[in-house]
Amino acid sequence: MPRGEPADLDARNPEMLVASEGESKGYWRSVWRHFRKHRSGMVGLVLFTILSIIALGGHLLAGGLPIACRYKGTVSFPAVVATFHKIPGAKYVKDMPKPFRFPQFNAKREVPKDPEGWAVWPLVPWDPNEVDPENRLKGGSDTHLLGTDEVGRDILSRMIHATAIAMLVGFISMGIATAIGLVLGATAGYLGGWNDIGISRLIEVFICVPVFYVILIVLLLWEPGIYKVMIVMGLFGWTGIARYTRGEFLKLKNLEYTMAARALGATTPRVIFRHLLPNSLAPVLVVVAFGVAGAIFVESGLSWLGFGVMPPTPTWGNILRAGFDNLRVAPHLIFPPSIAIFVAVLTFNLIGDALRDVTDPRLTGSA
Amino acid sequence: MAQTGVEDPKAQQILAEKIRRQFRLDRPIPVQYGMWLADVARGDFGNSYQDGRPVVGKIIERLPATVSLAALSILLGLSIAIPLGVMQAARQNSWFDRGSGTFFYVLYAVPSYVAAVVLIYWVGVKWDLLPFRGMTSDGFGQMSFLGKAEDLALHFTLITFCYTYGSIAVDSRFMRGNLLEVMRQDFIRTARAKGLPEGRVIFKHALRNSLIPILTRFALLLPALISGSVILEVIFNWPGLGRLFFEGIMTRDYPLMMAGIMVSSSLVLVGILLADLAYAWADPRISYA
Repeated sequence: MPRGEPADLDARNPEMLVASEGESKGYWRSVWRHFRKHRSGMVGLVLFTILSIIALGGHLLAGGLPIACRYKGTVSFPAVVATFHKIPGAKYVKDMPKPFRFPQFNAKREVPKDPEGWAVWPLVPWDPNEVDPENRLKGGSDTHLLGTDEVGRDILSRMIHATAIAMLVGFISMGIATAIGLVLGATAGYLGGWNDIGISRLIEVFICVPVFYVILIVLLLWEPGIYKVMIVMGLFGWTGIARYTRGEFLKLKNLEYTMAARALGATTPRVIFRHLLPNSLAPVLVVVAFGVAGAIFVESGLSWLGFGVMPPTPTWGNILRAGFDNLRVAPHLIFPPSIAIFVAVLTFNLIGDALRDVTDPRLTGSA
Repeated sequence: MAQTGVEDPKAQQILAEKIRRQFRLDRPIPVQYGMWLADVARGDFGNSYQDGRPVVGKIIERLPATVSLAALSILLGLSIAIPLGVMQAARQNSWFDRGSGTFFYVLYAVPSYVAAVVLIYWVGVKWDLLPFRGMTSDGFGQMSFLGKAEDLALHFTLITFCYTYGSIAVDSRFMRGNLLEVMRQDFIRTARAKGLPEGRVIFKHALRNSLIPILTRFALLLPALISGSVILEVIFNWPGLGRLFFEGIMTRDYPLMMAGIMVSSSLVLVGILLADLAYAWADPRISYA
């Protein structure tokens, strides 16, 4: 929130201090107030919440480990730990309880054998990579609600774990793109002159790059991997964000509060990051929201082509591909990923459109 | 060197040297790049590693499939999107406007490859209505002219639909917005005030002015469609440019990869230039002088 300098200016006058603080907070509050009234935007937000819960739920929703169990006299929460372990480095904070950390230990077979043991299993008691050899390419049944793929893995479990991958790809790649786009766009817009000319030409060069081919080539020359997909998409996806940020900065840098901050001797980085950036973020968020939708779209396409995220990691794209390769035998495989990709893209499109509506002063009559 | 079939180590060395010279690997990378650029300037993208044929020839061979698809998709897309946008704008906020707007908005969120897979399953496999592999059936050469036309039309149906529905969604929204913006202007009020019927106001006065921004869309759409959608061409086994470049990447056919990147980035440049020129040509108020 840009409240440092103007507040300092009026430090001797408490009434004005309150007023200036209230004003700068009010921008984001008014964005939220308009957003709440935006019906399709709220639909998008609800869908986003559901997707996030599924993505964060992980092993608590689907997995081969019990959420809570008593085995050989000790009570443990393996699925909770497994979900926690999705954070890189979390392993060193809390390790998996003893028998469950060994790959040869089959909780599903061993825990019921213990006469005093009990277990609470996840909704889908299948690990995404657990093979059920008797059920290959089977349709939905009581054991596998959405059926199984060509090696007998549970599709519902894979779909749930793929949600996390899709969201991760969307957010991390757009995070990288946003960081680059904001810095370059802000520099170009605020400093102007040769900086602006140089960065604008750089943007034009990057617009011409056929990103999809470049991603394919990079993944072919390096070893493919999920983080490489994110990095390449981020490195080539920042042009829209940079252009919007530049435009916002061109607009904001001539406003009174910028001049006031500069007159008070604030350094250029301070003016940019404390004063201008928070006020230019909302329109940029529109581009970011569409970018996340685009990244999910591209990642699923890449996985469909067999690039990017490597098997056996589940992604919506490779489940869809498994369905396409077995179209005559197992068409049940194509519908869950199709619906998931569609819902994810729709969600971020809805949020992006709603953000555009509520941050457009012509439409809201304020801000 | 095991695959060369040459046993003698000295001969192997000579061969390796020869290959290095052939692919200019004995030069520094900047020089290699400069020589590649000079070749490109002369219209030579080198020879494909797969079969030794010139890359330019391979591209020209694949052009018709992609260009015909792109042309068909643009024509079809605009001829549906423009009337749709006009109808929506003419009855703004009506049941039709909201209904079709929501429908196309939701449709737009369906990725083209998802639509392709689902359509191939339903229309192609389950109901067995339309072919979905390639551009022609086996034995296309022996068909009569009418038979050929029918065969092509059947093969074009699914892929054209998957290519087009997204741009219909975008363009109709764009068209609706443009028309509504024009309708707010003074000269429309004048036209209404002098008693012209609403149809004439829309078609004669508003529509023409609102078509100008669509020209930009057209020029920007062109490169994306020409360089082809890789995934769609792979799904439909379409003999187009997108699949050619994809195969080039998969087989590490470097001359083909370089040509692919070069062609599609130049097309984006050409598209932007065309958009600017078309704008100035259609709207006399704009000039770049």
